[in-house]
Amino acid sequence: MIQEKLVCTTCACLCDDIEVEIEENRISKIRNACRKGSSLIYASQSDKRHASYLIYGQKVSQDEAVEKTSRLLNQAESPLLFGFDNSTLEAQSTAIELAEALGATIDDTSSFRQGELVQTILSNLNPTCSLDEAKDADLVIYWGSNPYHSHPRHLSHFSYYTHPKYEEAGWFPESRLISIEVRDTETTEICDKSFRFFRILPGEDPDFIASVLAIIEGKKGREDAGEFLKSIKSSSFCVIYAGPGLDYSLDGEYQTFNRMVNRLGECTRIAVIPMIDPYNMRGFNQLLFDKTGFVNRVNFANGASHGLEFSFLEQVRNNVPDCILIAGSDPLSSLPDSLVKNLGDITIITLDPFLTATTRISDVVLGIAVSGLETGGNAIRMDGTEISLNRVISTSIPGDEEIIRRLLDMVKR
Amino acid sequence: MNPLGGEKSSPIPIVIITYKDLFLWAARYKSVSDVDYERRAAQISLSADDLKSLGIDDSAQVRLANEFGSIVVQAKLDPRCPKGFGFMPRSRLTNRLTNYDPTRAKNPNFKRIEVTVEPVS
Amino acid sequence: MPGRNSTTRGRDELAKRERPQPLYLFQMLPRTNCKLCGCKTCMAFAFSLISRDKKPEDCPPLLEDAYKPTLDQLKEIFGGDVEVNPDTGLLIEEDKCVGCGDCVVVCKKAITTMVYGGMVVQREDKPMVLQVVDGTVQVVNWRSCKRAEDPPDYCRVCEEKCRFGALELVK
Ligand code: SF4
Ligand code: SF4
Ligand code: SF4
Ligand code: SF4
Repeated sequence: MIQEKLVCTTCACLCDDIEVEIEENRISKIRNACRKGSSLIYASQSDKRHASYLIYGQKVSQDEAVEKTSRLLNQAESPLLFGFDNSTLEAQSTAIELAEALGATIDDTSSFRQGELVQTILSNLNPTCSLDEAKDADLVIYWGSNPYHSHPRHLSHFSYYTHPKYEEAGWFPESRLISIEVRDTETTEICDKSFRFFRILPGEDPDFIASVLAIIEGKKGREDAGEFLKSIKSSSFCVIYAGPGLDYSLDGEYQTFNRMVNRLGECTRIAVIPMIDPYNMRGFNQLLFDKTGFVNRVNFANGASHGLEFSFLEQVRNNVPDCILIAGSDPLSSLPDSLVKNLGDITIITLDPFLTATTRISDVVLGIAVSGLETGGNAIRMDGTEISLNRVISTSIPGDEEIIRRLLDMVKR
Repeated sequence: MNPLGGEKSSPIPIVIITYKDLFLWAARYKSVSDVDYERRAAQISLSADDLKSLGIDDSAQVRLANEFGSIVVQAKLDPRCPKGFGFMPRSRLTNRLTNYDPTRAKNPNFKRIEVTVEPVS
Repeated sequence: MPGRNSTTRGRDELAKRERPQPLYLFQMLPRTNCKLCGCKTCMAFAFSLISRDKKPEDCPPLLEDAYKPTLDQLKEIFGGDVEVNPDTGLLIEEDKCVGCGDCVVVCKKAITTMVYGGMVVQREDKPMVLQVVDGTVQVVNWRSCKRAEDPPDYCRVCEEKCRFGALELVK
């Protein structure tokens, strides 16, 4: 039996204190990872896991599948590459190169979840900080996010329970935590006790933000917004963890939110960290941003152009692409049926370690290694910190980086 | 409009907000039965007012429908749910009701699904 | 099965917000003090239920038809495959635990610090009592628990901080 350290790649917390026991190249015990992380780690070695290459549902060799894929991509008039949020930085940058070589459109899930927020943070429109710095925050705000279900260890590992000052006999004051939510959750339960739970109506976030701004400017506003402002003013370092609830409510329009954050920054130290779900979405956003100035929705047909028309949603709705390469994402089970039914008419190639609803309708399936477990590499945590992943299981299955690199070589030829 | 009052109710409009449920998420990967997934997925929290106008009790079955599809789930009373809204864990089931309409929003309506709800007898 | 689910939910709420109260349980029992269960009184039986020393089926009168609903209700509260750690009285319901680790970190603080004369004093470092293993929490070093000290300190921090009602201290 060997003991190894592992970085959990199930969510963008990228917890790096996971200990695993390995017997005969199989994980037999996982310590410290939450239920979410453990279930994915164990799933990677379940019998249900496929690691084969399929063309129209028939098993083929790796070479055949890769060749077929490169042929399909080369023939395509308007190829689209989508996903890569569960890939390493190395695989992502190869994918971006592939998009350039093909003159293709490339997009990821940030396109319908928090992409705009990451864009504002990378463009320095919102102040931010690392999770390690955030441990010193004396006010923690979860806005439109219930970490207990999305990032289970967020409070115990990074935020609420980690403040150095609160080591008093196991006692933690509730008042350090604020939750802005539309319904009761495990997180709001903590805040409820100290009247720090701001329960708003669904879709009311813009109104709440406008009210906070109005009060800052000396005008009248909602009572709860006033209370919220008071709490922030009395803190010395406040971190807002912005979740998908806020994103959907604002529909990606962060201008007033940014204005509010920056005004609040005049009275206290403030930082915004996006509660990103896929482990390396931020990595993809960063790489594409460095190259093009945009975090997603980029087309390389004539240089790099960016626009809403290059979002996965718009591309699929308008039946634009004739071939889509999807890596590490399962749009068929996460997006509206009324939209993904269009995928039926498009050639689909999927790179995924698991069998998913999307692999089932794919023309070509390339089974890949689970990144972070069976391949090494690097990734960027939700706060922008780069973390290197530790490969603990050896396998002959290639990772997505290797497959994409092979495709790139073949496409270039 | 029912002259007898409240006996048989007509469908009422509500807006569904979906949220992430960890147990449901883990069920996708752990080898749990589809039955367990469905049971966890097929529920909606509604306000006391809405349950009353539907003439149903906690735990009754309701049909949620819109132009994209219809599903049958169990209604649960959430005393703090605002009237006219319903909370549901996001799942394969809710995918049948969601839609992406760029004239209304850039994102799919995961947190703004307009449906009608009616009791299933 | 709508009926079953509604009681399950009742149980969740019970477990989450408050521990089963002896008086509440007592009122559900036959209250004849017939001693058939081996306890001196029905009240004593209620306490034994909470400490998991007895199961609802251990009261013979409850097995009669008239008490069927009561028995079912008690089974909902005390049913399920749970094991009480005999040394600390800690009961973990794996099905409810998400492995967030809140209890682990608060316990770590609890065992390494103490309040003495209004001051917080650092105590020697000890191996942690709880750890998340395979996604749910487990007792890994019960000897570090404040309840294992002599005299025992009836600490409840882990139970209070679990948001999922997955932990219960039955003693
Ligand atoms: S919080 Fe996220 S990264 Fe950490 S163990 Fe859980 S799933 Fe893995
Ligand atoms: S057997 Fe039942 S009724 Fe008799 S004393 Fe025990 S608890 Fe009470
Ligand atoms: S017992 Fe409760 S607090 Fe502890 S890890 Fe499980 S869910 Fe979290
Ligand atoms: S009772 Fe106290 S010392 Fe014992 S496990 Fe719980 S928190 Fe730790």
